[in-house]
Amino acid sequence: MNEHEKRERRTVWLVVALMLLVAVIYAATFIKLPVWLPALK
Amino acid sequence: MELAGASIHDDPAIRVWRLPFSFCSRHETANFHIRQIKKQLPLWFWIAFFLFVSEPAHAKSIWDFQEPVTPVARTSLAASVEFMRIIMGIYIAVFAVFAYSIFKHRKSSGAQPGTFTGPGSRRQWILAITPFLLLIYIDYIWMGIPAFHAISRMEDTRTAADMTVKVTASQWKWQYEYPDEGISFVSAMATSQGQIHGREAKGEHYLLEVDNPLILPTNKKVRILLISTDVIHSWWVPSFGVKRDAVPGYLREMWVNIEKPGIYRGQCAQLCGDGHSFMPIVVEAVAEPQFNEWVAQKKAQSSQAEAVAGKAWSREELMAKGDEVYKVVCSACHQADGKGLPGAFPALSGSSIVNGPMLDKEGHLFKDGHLDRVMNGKPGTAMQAFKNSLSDAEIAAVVTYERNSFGNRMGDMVQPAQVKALR
Amino acid sequence: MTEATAAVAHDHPHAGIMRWLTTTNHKDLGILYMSFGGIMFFVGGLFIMAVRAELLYPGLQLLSPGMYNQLFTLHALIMVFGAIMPFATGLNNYLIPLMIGAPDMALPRVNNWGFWILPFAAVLLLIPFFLQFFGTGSGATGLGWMMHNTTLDIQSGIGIDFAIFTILLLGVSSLTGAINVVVTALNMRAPGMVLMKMPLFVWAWLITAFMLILAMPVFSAAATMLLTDRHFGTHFFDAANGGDPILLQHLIWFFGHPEVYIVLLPAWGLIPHILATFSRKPVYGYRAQVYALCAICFLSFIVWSHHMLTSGLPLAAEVYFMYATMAISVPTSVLVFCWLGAIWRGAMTFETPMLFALGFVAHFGMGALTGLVLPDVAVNAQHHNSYVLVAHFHYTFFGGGIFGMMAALYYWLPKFTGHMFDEKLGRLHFWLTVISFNITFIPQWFAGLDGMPRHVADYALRFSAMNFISSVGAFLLGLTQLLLVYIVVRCVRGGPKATGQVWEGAQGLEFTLPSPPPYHTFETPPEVK
Repeated sequence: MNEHEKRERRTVWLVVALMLLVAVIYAATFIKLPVWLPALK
Repeated sequence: MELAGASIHDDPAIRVWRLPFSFCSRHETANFHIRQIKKQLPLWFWIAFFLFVSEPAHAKSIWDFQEPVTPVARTSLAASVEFMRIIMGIYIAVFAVFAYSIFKHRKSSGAQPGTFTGPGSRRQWILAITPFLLLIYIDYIWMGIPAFHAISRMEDTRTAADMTVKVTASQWKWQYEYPDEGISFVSAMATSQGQIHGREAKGEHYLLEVDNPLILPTNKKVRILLISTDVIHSWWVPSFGVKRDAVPGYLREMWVNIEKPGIYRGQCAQLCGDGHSFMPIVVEAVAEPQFNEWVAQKKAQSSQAEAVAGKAWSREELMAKGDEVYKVVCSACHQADGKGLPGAFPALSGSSIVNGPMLDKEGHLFKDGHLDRVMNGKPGTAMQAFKNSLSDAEIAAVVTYERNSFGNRMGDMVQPAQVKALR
Repeated sequence: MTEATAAVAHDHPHAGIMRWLTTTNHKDLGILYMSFGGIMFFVGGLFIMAVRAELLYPGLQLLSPGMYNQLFTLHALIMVFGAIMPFATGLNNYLIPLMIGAPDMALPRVNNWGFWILPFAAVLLLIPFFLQFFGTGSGATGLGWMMHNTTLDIQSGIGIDFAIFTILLLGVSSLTGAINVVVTALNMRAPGMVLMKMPLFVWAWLITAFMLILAMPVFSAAATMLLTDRHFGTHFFDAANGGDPILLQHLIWFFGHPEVYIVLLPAWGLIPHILATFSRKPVYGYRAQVYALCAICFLSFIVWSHHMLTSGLPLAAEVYFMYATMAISVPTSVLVFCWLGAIWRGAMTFETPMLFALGFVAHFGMGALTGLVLPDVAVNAQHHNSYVLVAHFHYTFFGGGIFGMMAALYYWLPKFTGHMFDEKLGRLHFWLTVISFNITFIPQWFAGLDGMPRHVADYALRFSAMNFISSVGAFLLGLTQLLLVYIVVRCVRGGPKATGQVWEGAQGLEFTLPSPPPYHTFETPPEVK
């Protein structure tokens, strides 16, 4: 595997990881965390 | 023009704050505005500018809040002024160094650029670290510790509270209730539409006057409970140094202890829709004996009203009372002519609800009928359940009024006793 | 190589309008982003001119209160999401590949998509505003830029639905942009450019991108929840049905506070470049600035409730959010200290970008220092939702964000266009902006201290003088910006040729290229020592 292919693969994984992160945060918001934390009522 | 001008110049405390003119009013000519601007703008600009760059050390200076009359307000004003001095000091110190560098280290004066990229010697490191230590000291000790005590006191609404007032916010008025005394009334803005739209001269307390002010005794710790029937509002009187949101579904609280008799004015401080600018708060602080007198008077009035509610009202009485209630409670949305605001607030004139049935065959409320709408509101809209804030007589009167005004000719009427039975 | 080279291997595949619609070139997209930001700056400005005209005198003269609410809300949304953020994104598009020696952004097609969402989002936001003149709907959203009055959101007309979809679209656009920046900065650097040699502007944008990735989904989710509350029978925020109005405030400020730094960080990143150039010195305190930016990023996620200190949080929460907020002053002052270090014992000249950079420091300093006062909960009870707040955040957003963007525009404009701009006019623009900006916002401090609440279409007579001065200043400020258009248009059309170096003291890879840089740059990565 040459340097370019390695970089391309890293790019793909990074993008996938970041998109997953976005999806997880988006979904986690619906847990309504501030409602369950008495300190924030 | 003369009216507005005269009232302003009578009051030396207010004179410094405002230019006595309004735009496009038929009482005030364009020439008058231009004269005023010519006369006052440069002066004002320079005063503002000068005060901004100078040390804030005047007796009643532009840096002050409105006169603080509660312990909380005095503390926060003192903290604010002290904090302003500190940041002004920091600003001047930091930008003096900037200015020195800007004037000294110029290419045109033959300065040779340095090549350093960080503090080099031990002395420079100390010089670099000191400001941060100072900042942390200011944040967490100098201002931080008094702030902690100030908040603890501000939030302690219950210890040694002498009385309680319940404030119910709704679009765009306040309802005040004294649970212990059994008194309750609605307080709405008293400034006329004519003043707002420049058809009449603006009065001295333009936008800051109400029909029924909140009366509070001086030197008593008054616990204020806040609820809202529709959207979030915020109760703020600058002289009291407190501001708290009234949130639907929550009970919020704060307290005031007014030390000086007088009339104090404030406004709703949370954007709450079209009438946000027109939701003033007026508090009249009086000595305790006068307050007790007022309570007794109010109580007598309400027992009288109750007696009145039981009797059968004539059409004229209902219409007269209904006109009064409509102006205060309904006209902000449905407008004085009953035409509403297209797209925002429905018209009552010719409305199928107003011109429809009120009661079903069994004598119960007709669902989504006129009386039901007024008493129970329409969930999810600005139309609130008025059975919570209006008396039987008021509801009966306003419904009768709406059915026989704005071109509506239903000819029927509702008696307070009927409303009482339907609650 | 990534798809970058494949997509742009041939020069200018299309001519005319198709070039701009289909371009995946980072320089073209940078210019598109910046132009969009510039246009929106004037649209948002126009809205606030109407607002200030209404506030010139007490009483209602020009606008109904409902229209007034729409105008200031649109002003805020357009300025933050339509002007400052796209302009900063344009700068990153154009400059990051040049600064790190990459041929393009890592994801050029996504880049094109991210940009072309924006005009549609802007149109979507404005549709209900125009529809109301034809009798449809009650106008655009008029609930403030953060929609913090939950129950009002639920009750309002169609404007808020359009705003929600705008927010969702902007979220997609920002996230594609952010992911692109992260991937580019982490993966596309020229050999030898280790992370700690990366220019500060790239660092600042890398951190900004992470903040967008962490905060934007929360905002999008909150907007979605609001949408389902309004139309699909859920009760997240609806108090009448057991929902929690404070929850929405928590969610939007959890986004809203990082958003403040999302607006400011790009400016903080580019100021050291400009100060170093015109002081003819290396950047001062590079490491300290990188760490300070990281610290600010972290802190910005744990202080959101200082926007809600009057909503009745428990005492413990109020104390926590006060002390946590005060902590931000420490990394922020590290930055100010480094800016001072950057010019100290330099050989300064005062071209327009340098003037704007110094203006940035002076005005942002004022905004930041007043930010030290506001978290004090007792004092905040007085300042919250008053004009003090309006003045405070305009000193940070305009005095910080916009001054920074203008400094950047003047600094890199010769690089973008290949022409020098008219230096005299640039300086005139700077001084007029400074003067009118301060005439506009200084009086707002005093109106606020005296008890004027914000968001009001009409005010009591005691606030007349301050509002009059402020309005006059705002008109001047608006007019002054027309000068900027003239300067930029003239510079694009012609003018003295700019050298590759442009400024005598300029450092960085972008200044090793000719001005304007060729369509494709750094196809063979440069060696960085």
